[in-house]
Amino acid sequence: MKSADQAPPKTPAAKVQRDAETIELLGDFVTESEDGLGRVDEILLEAQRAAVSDEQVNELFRVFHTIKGVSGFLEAHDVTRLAHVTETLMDGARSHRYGLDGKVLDAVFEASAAMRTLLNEVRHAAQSDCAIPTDPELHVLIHLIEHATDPDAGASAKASLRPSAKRAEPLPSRAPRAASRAPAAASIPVKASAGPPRPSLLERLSARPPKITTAEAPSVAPAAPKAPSPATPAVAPPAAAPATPAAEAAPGASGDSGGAVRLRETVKVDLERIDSVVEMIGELLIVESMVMSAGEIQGLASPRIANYLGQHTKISRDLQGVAMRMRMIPVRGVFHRMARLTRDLSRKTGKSVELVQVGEATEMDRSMVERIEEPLVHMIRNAIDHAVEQAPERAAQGKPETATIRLSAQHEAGAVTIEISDDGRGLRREAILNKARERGLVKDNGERLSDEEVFALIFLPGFSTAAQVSELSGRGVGMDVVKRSIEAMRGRVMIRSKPGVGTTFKLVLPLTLAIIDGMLVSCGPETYIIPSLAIVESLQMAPGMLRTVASRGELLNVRGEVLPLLRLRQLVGLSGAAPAADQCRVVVVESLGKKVGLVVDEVMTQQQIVIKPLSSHLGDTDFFAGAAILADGRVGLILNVDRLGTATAPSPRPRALEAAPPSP
Amino acid sequence: MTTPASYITFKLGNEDYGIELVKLRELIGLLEITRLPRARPHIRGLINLRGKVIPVVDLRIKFGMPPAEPTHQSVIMVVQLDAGNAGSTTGILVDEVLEVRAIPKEEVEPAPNLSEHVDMSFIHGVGKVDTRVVFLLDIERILRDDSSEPGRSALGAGLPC
Repeated sequence: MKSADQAPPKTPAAKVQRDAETIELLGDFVTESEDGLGRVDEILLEAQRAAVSDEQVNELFRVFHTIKGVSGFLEAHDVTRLAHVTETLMDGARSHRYGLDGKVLDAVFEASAAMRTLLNEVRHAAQSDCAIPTDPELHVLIHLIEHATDPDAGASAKASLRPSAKRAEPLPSRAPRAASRAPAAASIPVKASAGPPRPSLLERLSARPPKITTAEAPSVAPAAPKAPSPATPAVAPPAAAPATPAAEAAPGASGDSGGAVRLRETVKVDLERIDSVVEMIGELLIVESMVMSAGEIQGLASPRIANYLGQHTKISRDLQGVAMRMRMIPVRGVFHRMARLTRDLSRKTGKSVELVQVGEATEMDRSMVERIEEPLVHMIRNAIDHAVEQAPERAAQGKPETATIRLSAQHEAGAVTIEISDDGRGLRREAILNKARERGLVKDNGERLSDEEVFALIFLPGFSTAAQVSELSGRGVGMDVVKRSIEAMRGRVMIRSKPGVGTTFKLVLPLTLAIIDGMLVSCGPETYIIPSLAIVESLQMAPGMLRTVASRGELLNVRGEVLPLLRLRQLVGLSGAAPAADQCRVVVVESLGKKVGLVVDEVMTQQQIVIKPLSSHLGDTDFFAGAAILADGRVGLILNVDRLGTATAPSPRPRALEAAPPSP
Repeated sequence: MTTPASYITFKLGNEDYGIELVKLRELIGLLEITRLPRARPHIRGLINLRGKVIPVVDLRIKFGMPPAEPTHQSVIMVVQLDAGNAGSTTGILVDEVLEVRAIPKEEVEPAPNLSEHVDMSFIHGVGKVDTRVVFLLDIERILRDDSSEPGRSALGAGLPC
C-alpha cells in the first residue's frame, strides 16, 4: 500500500507478512535504538568540544553493539552492517589505537545520522508490512567508516565523504516523510488504544486482500485531518488528491496508529505520573513515621488516638502496596521475546536449543521489565553462541542433542530473582584466568581467586575469551553491558558454573527502583544505610577474627573464609575513638561475587527507604548510591556497595586499556 | 532609569553580600545538616527540605574564609537556579541575613579587587547601600564552578586503595 509513496527509494518494497510479535519487536527495537543514538549524539557533540572519557567511548561502542545484535536477528541487514563497521571503529577508539576526533568523529556522526534514517525505514517497513529495504549505496558510507582511520586516507576519505554526503540527501528527504507519520500517530492515541491492536493487526494480515478496499479507507480517514500540518503534504488530503493516492495514503495512517501502540510513547508519560504518585506516597510514609516517632505523640496515652493512628498507618501501607502494584507487570512479554530470540539464534547457529520458561507470571516493576531485556538478550546470545556445543560434541559427551536453556523468574525475600541456566560447556576457569593474566588483571597468577571471583572477571569491559569476533557476539562487551544494566537497577549478578555441565547466571533485582530495603548502621553520631540486598550477614566482632597482613591490610576470618576488612569510620573520614573492637559489628556485604567485611559501630534497624539521587557535582558522590530521609527526619546516606568492593583493590580497568595492542 | 533589581543581602564574616531576590526560594533556620563524606570541601552536607534532599553550600569555605561553626544567627538561604528544575535547588549557609534592598543599576559598579577572599569572577558588581558596600554575587557561577576546586577533601587520600 505504500508503493506510490515508496517510489523514490531504490528498492521497491515487497509485501511481507509479520506476526504481531515481530511488529512489536521491530517497534521496540527502533525506539530503543533511537534512544541509544540520542546518547551517541550527545557524546559526539561533547567530543567535538573536548576529549571524552573512556567510559563515553565505551558507551558509544555499546550502543552500536546492541543495535548490531538485535538488528541481526530482526534481519535488518543494512542496520547490522552499518552497526558492525561502526562498532569496529569504536572498538579501536576504545582501545586507544586512535582518538575520537577528526575523520573518526566525522565518520561516527555520519554513521549515527545514516542509522537514524535506516531505523526510520525499519519503522516504516514494520508499519506498512513491507520488507525492510536495502540501500544499494550504503557501501559508500561503510567504506568511508572502514577507512576512517587509514593514515593515507586524507584525500580519498574526503573524496568518499562527498558521495556519501550527496547520498545522504535522498535519505533525509525520505526521513521527514517517515518522521511526519510519527506525529500523526502520536496525535491519535485514543484511536490507537480504543481498539485491541493485536487482533486488528492479525485481521489485517490474514483477512485483508492485498489491495486496499475502499471500505477500509473511510474507517481510517479521520486520522489524516487530525494529523499536524507537517504530515499533511506527505499523507495526501483525501479531498484534494486523486482517488487512488488517497486510498493508499490513508491506510498508511492506519498502519501508524498501530505503530503508536507498539512504540508505547503514551505509556511512558503515564509511567511518569505513576512515578510521582509512588514518590509522593514514599514522602507521605516518611512524614508519617516522623509524626509517629515524635515525642509528643508517643507521650499521648489516648487509646482513641492510638487506634486512629493505627488505622492511618495501615491505610498508608496499603496505599504504598497499591501504588507499587500499579507499576508491576509480569515478565511474560520479555520471556516470550527471549523464546523467539532463541529460535532465531538456534536457526542461525545450526544448534538445536530449547528455551524452557518458568515463572513468566512473576511481576516486577514495569521499568525494570523493560530494562532487563537487554541483559537477557546478551546472556542468551552468549549462551547459544559460546556455551552450547555443536550437536556432535554434545553427543560425544552423552548430552541430549537439543540443548536446554532455562529462564526462570521468582519472588524471593523481597526481591526478584531471574536465572538463566544453560547445559553447555560451562565457564573455563583456566581460559578466563589466562586471558586475565595476559591483560595483567590478576595478581599472583590468580591462583588464590575463588571460582566466583574468576568468573566475575568476565564482567570487565572488553573481556572476552572468544577467539573470533563474530557478528553475533564474542567481543566480551555483552557481559560488561549485563553488569552495568543490572547494577543500574541496584541488582546483583551471580555466576555458578561447572565445566561440561553448564552455567547459571542469577540476577537478583529489587522489586522496584524507587524503594529499597536498607539496614541502618551507625558510626559515631552518623547514620548510614546499607542496601539489604547486598548484605550477606552481620556478625559481632569476636577476638581472633581479625588479622593484619602487611601487604593486604586488615583481614577478617569468618568461619575459615578470609575477607578483606574495611572500616566505615575510615571510609567516611570520621575521627574520634571507635568503640572497642569487640563492641563493633561487622556487616559482610557482597558485590560481584566479592565479599567484604565492613566494620560499623552498631547495626540499628532495617527499614524500607525511598532513594533520593545525589547530584554528581557535589564531589565523589559515586561512593554513595543516594540519600534517604530517616524516620527522625534526618538525611541518611546509602552506601554504594559496589564501590566498597573496588575500594579494596585498585581498579583493573586502566591497566586493561594499557594492555591493549599498540596502535598500528 | 530601569527598575532597580532587588537583592537579598547577608553577612559573611565582616563583609556584606547580595544575591538577586528572584533566585531566592525561601530562608530557613539552621537545621541538622548531614555531612557528606568525600564531597567537595564547600559542600557542608545535605538537609531534608520537606521530603526533598538538597545540598547545602558553605560560602565561607567556597570563598576561602576561615571556617566557622554556625550560630543562632546562621541562616540557610534556599536558592533555585533554574525555575522549574527542582534538582537545581541548593541551600546556602550564611552567617546572618540582613535585608532585601532594591539597588538601582547606577549604584552598581564593576567589581574592583576589593575583597581579599573572593575570586572576583564570582562577583557581578559592587553595590552601594547607604554607606556600606555590598558584593553582588553571581550565584549561578559560584554553584556551578567546580574547576578551581581541589576536587575532594583530604579524606580521599586516606583511602585504603
